[in-house]
Amino acid sequence: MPEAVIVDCLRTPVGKAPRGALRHTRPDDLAALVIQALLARYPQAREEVEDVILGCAMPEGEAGNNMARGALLRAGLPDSVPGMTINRFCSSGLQAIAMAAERIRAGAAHTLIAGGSESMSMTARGGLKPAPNPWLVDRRPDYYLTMGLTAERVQQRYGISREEADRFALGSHQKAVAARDGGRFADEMVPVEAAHGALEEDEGPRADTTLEALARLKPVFHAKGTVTAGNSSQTSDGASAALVMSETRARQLSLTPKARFVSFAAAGVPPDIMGIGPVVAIPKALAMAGLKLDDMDVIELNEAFAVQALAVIRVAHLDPARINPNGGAVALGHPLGATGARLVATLLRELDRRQARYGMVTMCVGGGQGAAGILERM
Amino acid sequence: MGSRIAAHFANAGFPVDLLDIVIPDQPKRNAAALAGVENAAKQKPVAFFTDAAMRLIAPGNFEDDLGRLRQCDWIVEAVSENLEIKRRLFERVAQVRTPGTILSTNTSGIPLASIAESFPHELRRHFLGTHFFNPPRYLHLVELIPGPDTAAEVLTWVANFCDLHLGKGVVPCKDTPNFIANRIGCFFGATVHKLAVEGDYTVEEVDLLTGPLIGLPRSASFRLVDIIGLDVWAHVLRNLYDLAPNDPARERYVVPEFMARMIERGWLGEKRGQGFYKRVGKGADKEIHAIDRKTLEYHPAQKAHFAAADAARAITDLPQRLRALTADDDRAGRFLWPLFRDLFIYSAQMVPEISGRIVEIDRAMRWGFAFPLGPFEFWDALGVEATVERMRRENCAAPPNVERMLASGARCFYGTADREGQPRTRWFDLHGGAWQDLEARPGVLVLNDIKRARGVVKTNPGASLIDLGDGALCLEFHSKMNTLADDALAMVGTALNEIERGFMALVIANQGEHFSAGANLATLLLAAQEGEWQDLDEAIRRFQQANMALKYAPVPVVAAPFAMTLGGGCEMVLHATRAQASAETSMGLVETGVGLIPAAGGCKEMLLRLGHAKAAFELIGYAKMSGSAAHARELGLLRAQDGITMSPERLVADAKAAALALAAGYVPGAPRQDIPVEGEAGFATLKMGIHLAREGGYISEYDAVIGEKLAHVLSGGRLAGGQAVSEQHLLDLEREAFLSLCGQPKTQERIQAMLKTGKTLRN
Repeated sequence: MPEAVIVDCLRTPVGKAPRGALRHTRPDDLAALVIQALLARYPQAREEVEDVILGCAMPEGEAGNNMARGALLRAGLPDSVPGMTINRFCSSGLQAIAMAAERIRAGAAHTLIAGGSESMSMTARGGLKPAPNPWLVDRRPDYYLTMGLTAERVQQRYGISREEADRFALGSHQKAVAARDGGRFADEMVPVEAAHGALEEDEGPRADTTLEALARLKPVFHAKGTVTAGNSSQTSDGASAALVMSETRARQLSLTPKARFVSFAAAGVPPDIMGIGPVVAIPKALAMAGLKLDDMDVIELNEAFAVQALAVIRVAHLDPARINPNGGAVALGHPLGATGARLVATLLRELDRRQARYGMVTMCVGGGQGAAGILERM
Repeated sequence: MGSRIAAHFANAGFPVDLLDIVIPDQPKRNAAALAGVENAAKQKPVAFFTDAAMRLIAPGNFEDDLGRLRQCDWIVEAVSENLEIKRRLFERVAQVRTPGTILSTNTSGIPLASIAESFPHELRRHFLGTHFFNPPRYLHLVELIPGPDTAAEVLTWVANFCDLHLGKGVVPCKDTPNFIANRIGCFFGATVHKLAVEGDYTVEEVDLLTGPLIGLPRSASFRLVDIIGLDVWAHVLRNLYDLAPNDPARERYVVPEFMARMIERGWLGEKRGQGFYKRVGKGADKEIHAIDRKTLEYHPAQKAHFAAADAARAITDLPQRLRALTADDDRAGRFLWPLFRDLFIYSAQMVPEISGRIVEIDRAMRWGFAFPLGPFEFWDALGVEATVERMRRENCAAPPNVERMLASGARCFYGTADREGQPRTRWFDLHGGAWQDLEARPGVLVLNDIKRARGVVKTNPGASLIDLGDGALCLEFHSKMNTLADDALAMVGTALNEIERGFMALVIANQGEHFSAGANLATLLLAAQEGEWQDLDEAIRRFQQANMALKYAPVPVVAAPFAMTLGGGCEMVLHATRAQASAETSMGLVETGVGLIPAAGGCKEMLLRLGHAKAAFELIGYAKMSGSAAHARELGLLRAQDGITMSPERLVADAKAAALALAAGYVPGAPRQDIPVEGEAGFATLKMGIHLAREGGYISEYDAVIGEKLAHVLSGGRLAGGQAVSEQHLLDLEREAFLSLCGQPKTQERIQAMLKTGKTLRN
């Protein structure tokens, strides 16, 4: 089986939605920017790209109409390159990379671009025209719970306190601010010239957040809940994409891949506790790879909600010290379809910094799912 | 006060520059003006009709922005009641003001002559007093005070603007201390204090005696001073004491000792959290404490009790109730009789000093202090001859001008002089000693006067038909709260029959307290508890048919909603060709609050107006109610083509004019068969929303049950795919849902709670 490698993965800064600097920048434009930056950094691959796979959680409106194909044409790739837009909600970016890697392992391709893009400013969660299935509304209404309400369910079921969640959120900001100020995101970043000036860094992290300030926030999803705007991921705009190649082709072009793609798994849980999804996806991905949890040196666990991340850490027995060393979505934001690839971009650098071997990207996924992918530094 | 006046100009659609001081050491130069706008927007009673009105205000300050006055058409001053401060500001204003610009002061008592002393001639011609009453949005009165040289056309222009655009009742005053309303109001308040001390009445007792019991607002006396501020009240009293040395009651304007001590302690009323009353505790433990005038200690407010008051409360007719209260020689009567007696004598003494006409004095007290009747109208209500006789017995004779009136043979201050079906009122000119006809006010129709002069076309206990003249017929409701029962609905049919006898338009209007509080819930509950489903079904059908008959009547139908226009009342307005709404209209389909859904076509009409089920669901499901007519327009309860009348006095005439304007070439139309509905798919979307609201803890389980019924109606039933349905189809769905909810115990509980407490039960 041919090995699939990730040559690199880049991303735009994450903008706040719907009032941030990227609010008027289209998601296909953001994706095109990242594709151009990737090919500018690895010009050898420019003529090689065989397909572009982009994930998007709300592929409607500006992200509609096969966003990947539009983005690649916008990026100046030739007409001969096809594109496909895929959707597994919050894992879409990781899913796209996994699909690219699996094409390569199947011997069907050598060079692909895979990632994701999302403008939550333009298409908010829930989509432009919600049209739920009457059968499901009658019989499985929890399938349509808002993510915030599923977080409240997780909070109740796993008994995570408001204070724990706020403390976790504070930690996310502190780590993200330290990473940003330490220039740890610089290498993965593709600055954006937006309508309101250039955006070069993530808009989300706040150096001035305190536990007291977080404790004062009111619940936003449940009238008497614990999930607040402060301990949830931020709604965001952003794009991220990876250059995925067969190891052979990368070597032929004298490219130095950053990591080998090891495994990927998605799995399901009851829709009303979707936040716990990683708990079932992680062992599946580990089993496929024949690895143990302890082999994972760094884990990027998407922080959809602090309560959800804390529940996953507890139930899956994750080591908090290895999780999100550079902060997570509570501070950095969560541009749904782009997040999976954004986490890969950040993970690749962290594995390098630590000279570590294995890293994992995992997240909960709407509708009651979880996804996990494993990478090995090369 | 300045920001609230500005807010009301904005309500009328006029952009306003709101300039205030620069607060020392405050980095934001406009902080004072901004705080004014924010308070006006947030503190109840809210000063703005809508948020959009708020955006018409441009805050600024006296240091940087005085130049903006150059562009203004009218400058209103409302700074501290201090002559020196006012003079200094006016000097600066005069330097930037464009000649011809109107300049008015909102002073409540400083003589205009002293403010205008040093003004140049041109400025004096454009300077006048416009005295608004707080809160200016809600109190009808504006006192118009000419300065020493105000040009007549300036007074006319301002009077018309206040009436037509701001919707205010203008009372021309003289430049006498405290003008009219505060002159009489001070006397009344000071007399209340005096009687309280002399007869040793508690704060609670005084407020019971001087509130709704005698037709006055709930704020009564001491609660009102708490709202105004003890310091402001004391200032107004002192002003009167200083400026009116010959006032026959001058000694009463000395601030009473208990009040002076409270002011020393900073207990200034609501703005300081305590005055005559204070709120203690929070949430369920909240209680109101009242002060003991003698010890200045607070105690939990006691419910005051007077046997005579309890008996009198059963008398609904106000004059009759007042006669009973003042005739009694118990503690209530011993307080109220001298209060009214002194008010009568003082008011008559003030003619012609503060006004040559009793009419203005009565209007000022009704419009500025929300009295149900002015002093002379109160006097008529108690009977002038009998009270003057009693005064004589008690050795405090009525003023000579009143004695002269009685000697002339006149027995009351107001009378009627209707001629040939035209209502006419006359008033007794105390100064001139003869009857005078009250001038007709173009654009103001008073239904009771018309009925008196012309009789009714048809009538039953719930409604009447009145010929408004010029081919307009008026359907007037007149039940308690104007709840709609079978008699009112029957009158709709009668009205449409009468129309055929040569009327060109129908106006649905009344001048009660509210347009209509909706369907009669008591009758409904009784029928539901008795399980009279057949009767209920027929009653709903009749309501639906009445509304449909109005909607497709051969002549235009204009409804004139005002104040509470709820439930069934709102539904009727929705079916009119046009609404001509009072600016102060609290409109809403609030049926879910009593466990029901609108079933007289309200769901149908909102679906038609808002275009899709979700918007209609959010309006009806959450029982949204408008805070003003402009807000009702934002909610979709009123349409762009529906008119809004600022002055409540002008509403009926405006509705009549709107109806007649539509008469020529009126196209009645026919019930629609082509209303697009979303069916099953739309229902699923709404049901999902209900599920989320329930899961989020925002609605109760029973709210969700009602919500699903509503969703079913608004989706047009669970039809496969989008389809077109008829109005009748939607009416049938409404009726079916309404009936099934009537049968639910929790709906019956909600109705019961509403009837008992007036509040919504969320069971």
